[in-house]
Amino acid sequence: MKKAEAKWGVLLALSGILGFILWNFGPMVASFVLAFTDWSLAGTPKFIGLTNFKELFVDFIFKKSLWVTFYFGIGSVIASGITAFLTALLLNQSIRLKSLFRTLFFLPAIVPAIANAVIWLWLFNPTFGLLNSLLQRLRFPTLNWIYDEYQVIPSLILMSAWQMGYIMVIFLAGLQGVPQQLYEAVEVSGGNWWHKFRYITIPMMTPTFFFQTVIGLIWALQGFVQPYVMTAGGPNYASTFIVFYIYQNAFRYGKMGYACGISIIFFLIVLGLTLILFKTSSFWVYYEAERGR
Amino acid sequence: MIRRKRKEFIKRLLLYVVIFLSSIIFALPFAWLVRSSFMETGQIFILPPEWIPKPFRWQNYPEALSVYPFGRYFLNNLTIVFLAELGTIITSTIAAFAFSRLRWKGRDTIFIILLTSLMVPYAVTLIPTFILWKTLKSIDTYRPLIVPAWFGGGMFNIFLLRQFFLTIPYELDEAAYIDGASPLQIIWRIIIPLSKPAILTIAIFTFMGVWGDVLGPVVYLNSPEKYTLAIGLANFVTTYVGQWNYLMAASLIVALPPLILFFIGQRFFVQGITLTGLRG
Amino acid sequence: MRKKVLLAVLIFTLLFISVGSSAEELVFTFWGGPEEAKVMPEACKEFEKAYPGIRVRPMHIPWGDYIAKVSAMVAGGVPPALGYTMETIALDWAEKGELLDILPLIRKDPDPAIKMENRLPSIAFWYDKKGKTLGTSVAAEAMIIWYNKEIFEKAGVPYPPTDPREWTWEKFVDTANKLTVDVNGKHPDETDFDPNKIQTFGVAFGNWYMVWFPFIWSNGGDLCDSTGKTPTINKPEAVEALQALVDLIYKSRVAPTPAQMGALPAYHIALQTKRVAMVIDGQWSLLELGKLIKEGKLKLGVAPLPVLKKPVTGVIGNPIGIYAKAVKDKPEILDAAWKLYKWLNNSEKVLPLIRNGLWMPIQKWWYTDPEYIKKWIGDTGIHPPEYKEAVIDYTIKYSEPAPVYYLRNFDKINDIMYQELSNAFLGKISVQKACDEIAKKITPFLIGRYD
Repeated sequence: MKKAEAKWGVLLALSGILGFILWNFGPMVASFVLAFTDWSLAGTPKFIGLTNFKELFVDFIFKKSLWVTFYFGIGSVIASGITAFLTALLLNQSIRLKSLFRTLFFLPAIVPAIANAVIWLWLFNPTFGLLNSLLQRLRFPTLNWIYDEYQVIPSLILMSAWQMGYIMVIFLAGLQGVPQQLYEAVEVSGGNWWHKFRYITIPMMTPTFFFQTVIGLIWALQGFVQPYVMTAGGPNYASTFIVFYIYQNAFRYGKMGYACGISIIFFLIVLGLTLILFKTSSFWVYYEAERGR
Repeated sequence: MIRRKRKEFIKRLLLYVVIFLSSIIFALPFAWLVRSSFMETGQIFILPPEWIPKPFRWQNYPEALSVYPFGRYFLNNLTIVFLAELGTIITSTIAAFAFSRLRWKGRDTIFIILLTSLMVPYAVTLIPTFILWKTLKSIDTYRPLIVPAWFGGGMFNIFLLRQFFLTIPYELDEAAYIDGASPLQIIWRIIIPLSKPAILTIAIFTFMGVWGDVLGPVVYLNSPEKYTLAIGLANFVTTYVGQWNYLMAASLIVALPPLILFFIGQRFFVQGITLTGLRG
Repeated sequence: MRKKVLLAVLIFTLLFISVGSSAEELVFTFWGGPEEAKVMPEACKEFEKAYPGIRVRPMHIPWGDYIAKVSAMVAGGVPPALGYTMETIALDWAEKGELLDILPLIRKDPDPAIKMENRLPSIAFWYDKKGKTLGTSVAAEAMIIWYNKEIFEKAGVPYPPTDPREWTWEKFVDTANKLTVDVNGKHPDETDFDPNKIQTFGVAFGNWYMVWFPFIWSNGGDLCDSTGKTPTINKPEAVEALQALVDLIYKSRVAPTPAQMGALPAYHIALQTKRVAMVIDGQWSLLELGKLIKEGKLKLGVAPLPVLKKPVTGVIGNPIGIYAKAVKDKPEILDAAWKLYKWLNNSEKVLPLIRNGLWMPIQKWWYTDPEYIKKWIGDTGIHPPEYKEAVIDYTIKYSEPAPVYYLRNFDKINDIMYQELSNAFLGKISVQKACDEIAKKITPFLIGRYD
């Protein structure tokens, strides 16, 4: 049985493995090799050894972008994760017009990126934007949002919490996957909603939480549209995300090799984080399928 | 008795109020999109913002759609999305099964290696990938946009399904193996029915991703008759000034199919999957 | 199982059937709004009529993804024959041999429209010690001031002069002051003026290099010295100029803060809705302004930039490059590409884009010959009466090339300038300090000029 299982395992996983080898591996290796060259997209890349990395070491923009990116990435995963979970819980109740409400909450995710950026530029507007108007009405001091170097990242985190529609859907699917029997069992033993939540929902949702944490981080750390369309990386480099800086070096400054160097470092950091998350997952993630295996 | 009923009623009322208010907040950007799509570009950006279009330019819609051949683009989108969806759903389900419910040497290590494909920004892999496809003589075809979907459809989907599959008790598979089933039959008969929300989720995400993808079509397509809706939208915003009113109108139309699909798909997000045959 | 494999094979076969079509035609890549998207292919069609036997395939690419797509084409070995090139990267590509040096072709060709000496000198891309060139911008764009004449008339303020030598900085600030009003009708120099409730701003300007440099130059300063290796941005002349701009916001209070700028709609709307009286802007805005004029919604005026010490303005514009690898060892393609290049760079052939206000022509005679001036602005209905003095004469006399035409690493330097100056324009640090930071940070990137 074990040998047959192993055979099937490899066979069925083949599409994913082949896909990686064909479409990802080559370009990834190519980009890593390019990190040791100087190339402005014209002519042929020139091998320059470790020069790019030496330059990165003293590049103040690179260092700031590392900090800024992780500040945003971690903040965004937490904010949108919590918002999405609360919303999913809310919309998993038996209420009328469920489909309509879920769609409404999902709308920000479906608006095309360009239109979305313009909408948020309007929301963030210090003089007439909706957010400041609301603050004024509630007698709070108004903010400068993306025009202030200390407020820009929290502003972008707020914006990403708004777009949690994707995550909400994933959490909804996860909640659907919790077998009804388990809740009924708790009721039979006299438990209330808190027991259901604490002993059934949360543990059964941990695989989904794990997914959201890993993928959410990988995605948020590669944020690009916000600086590209809304802030130009400012003010004072405060929203220069790494992928944005990579893009600028690759396509605007004619420093593709340098951009690849940044990518390698970014890649290693993200890989390290992912490995840590996977290794520590056995402490908090509960997989029903692995029970007793 | 009446008191209890009243408590229930208040709880439910509160619930509806919270949901209603929050949904307004979330629907706001979309509302802004809709109101802008009926305005002249000038009025869109007047501050403080105005919510009633003056004049009411319903003409934005037919005009925006005629600037570029959106009808053609729509058909192209359908072709690409259909083929990509099919490939993604089939191959990612199978692959995720292999990574979650079968045991084989190196499974988890290989899984993480495959995950690394998500960690390299496109800016640096764009050109090598382009060269790869050029060697495969696939420039100005739909292949770069469709073929990868048939090879697992991306680690995002495989990862998501893997997590879901890991929540299904293994006893079900065991029982089926004892009855002489093959893994593929298990996938078809047991796993898929129990994973409808998850599979629907990746179906929706894949649809939205492919439907609105700009970079892929721009980089790989040269012939205007092959262009997609996303390229049409991108052309409304240029170096100097954007035709924002057309962009809003066109964006709304482009966003409608995924939206409708999402709304309809909600029907399958059903609570309470009952697992018959489970020993309990 | 077997059925599934068969299905997979069938789909793969379908997908991999090669659909080949490689006709001999010139691929011409470009970006731009709907006007350019219409006029450029039309110009190409006219070209095909004039030169039967040459086929042109114009490829309109969205601006946001242009560089990614064309870089991929170039790196992938399928470059276009001709195409727009980003100004900031053009000279680098030319130096590395990706774009063709067209000086030899110019020398051999008798057509006067193509000669470098007949084109505006301030828009030329020279490299290799002025021994090589990839031509000039396909259109010129000068920085000027657009203003709403109605606001001037209502406030009883005389229009700006069309001779820059009379448009001193003091007069400019004074004019802006008279035109700036808050919601209670107060001007900035009055005691109970409320800077948070400004109804109309005297002047608005963007925070980018085409606004900074003309004033830096006007004050006698520059970003760096003439070798392009030593920064002079923190010297008094440059600092004073930038300070003058910042003072417009915080001292004279006639211009919006960056946050308030975000509240203003696009320039043409801001002018028309009387949110601003004057804008420091590029000539290209005439395209949108012209539409408002034709609808009777705007009475537009144009003026040169105010002068700190000497009159000067900047010009900018992206070039069309011929991609060397597309024409290498293919004399017929080179010949065809050269013909198309000459066609598109002869402003006469793209006249609709000039008459609708988007572009300015590049041959000198458009600025000096009354026949050509008439072709340019005669009966367009959108060019204000003072356009000839304020823009045409102004450009031919006083325009200087933007640093993209000669400075290496300008894109990177510009981004640093933008970030550092954003602090100054937000009123957080002094201009001197910002410029000192800039000078320090750009030094490793100041490695010289292309020419």
